Amino acid sequence: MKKSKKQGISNDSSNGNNGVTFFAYNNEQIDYIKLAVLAASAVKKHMKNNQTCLITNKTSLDWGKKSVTTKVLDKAFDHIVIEEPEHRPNIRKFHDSPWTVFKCQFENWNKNNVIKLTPFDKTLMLDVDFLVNNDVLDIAFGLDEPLMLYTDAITLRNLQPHFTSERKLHKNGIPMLWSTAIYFDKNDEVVDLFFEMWSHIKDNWDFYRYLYGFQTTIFRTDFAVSIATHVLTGFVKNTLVKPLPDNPMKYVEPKDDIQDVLSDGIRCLSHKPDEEWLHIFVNSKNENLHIMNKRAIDRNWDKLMRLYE
Amino acid sequence: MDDRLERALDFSNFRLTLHNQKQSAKQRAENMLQVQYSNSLFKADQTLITFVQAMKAEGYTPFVVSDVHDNPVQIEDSETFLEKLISAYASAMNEYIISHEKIKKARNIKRLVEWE
Repeated sequence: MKKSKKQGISNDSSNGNNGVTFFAYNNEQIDYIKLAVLAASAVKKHMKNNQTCLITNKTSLDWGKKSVTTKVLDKAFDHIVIEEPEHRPNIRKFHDSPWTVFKCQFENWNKNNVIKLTPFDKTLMLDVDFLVNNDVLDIAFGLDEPLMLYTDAITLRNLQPHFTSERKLHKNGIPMLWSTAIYFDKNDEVVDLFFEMWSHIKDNWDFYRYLYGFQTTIFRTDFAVSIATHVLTGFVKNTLVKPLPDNPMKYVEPKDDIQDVLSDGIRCLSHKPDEEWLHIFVNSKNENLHIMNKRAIDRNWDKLMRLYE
Repeated sequence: MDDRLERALDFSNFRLTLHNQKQSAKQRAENMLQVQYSNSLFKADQTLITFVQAMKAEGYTPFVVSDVHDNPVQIEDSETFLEKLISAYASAMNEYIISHEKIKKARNIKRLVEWE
């Protein structure tokens, strides 16, 4: 593990050692570094706790230096931590609108190591496809809660996830919590236990798949944090991990698309899950968005970057 | 397609989009009502503001209120707390009414999603 601190004047306007951390490992289909730059730029624009850290590997970073340039990387990130991911096969299906599907390796095995890798005492770990468009998440840093995440989510149509598998681990199972955004205080003992439990679930994935009754073979961090919370709460309804201040999380589904980027928001096309050829337009303004269609972000990257200038 | 059905379906699509935009504006206002005070989270709604005002007027200092997670929180400085609540409420509601009025005035989808 190698930590490097950016030289020069810090634009940190937060109180204390707080910040936002991203993981980004490129694969042959998706430039995660490019997505991370965009997500970090959104944080810089909208949040007060806007120190940022990128956790990546050397090859992704080298590619990023060419694809988005060193200057842009330096502007987006205050810290860059080099950490090689654990190479375990994890092939995942991605959607880009209802009409395109592709598969590639998804590196999420070491996300639980964020507690060791983050340079911040209080960290908001965000997925690179989560775009911050307001300052509500700043509230998390001022609360007396050591661990928070999104416990619920709604689609662009302001509805709960359509499929049971996006709400629960099993049709009669525990609710699914979202690992897209996790706020934590790394000096808290319960937080330490939470990440240790996450690591244990990862190492015994097949056992927990059987125990909690879900079919998916790919390692899903949403499921891992849901199980870790269930265990630590005492195998009852979650009372331990509190929801983030702007819970439920608004998300753009993998089969939705970005139609255009406006001067003050994003115009999306939201598909109807049971009749996929039907869409409505949705203007999203000032709301944090988890855009699961990564290719849609990539297609609109230049325009989105201008939104966060 | 029968013209009457086409017009009805166009309107149906418009109503769906209109309702959704209204819901999003409401959701945004709900988020803006979140207030952090004394390491706890509160929702600056009309009930809490009125309650804090009443406690302050009756001279209860300090007093206890429940946060959004139903934890009791002692309010030492009711003046500052009330200011924060009112400020969050005013910002949220001002933004909400502007969005709401804009949505209400739109008569077609293009207007609604600011295509024109």
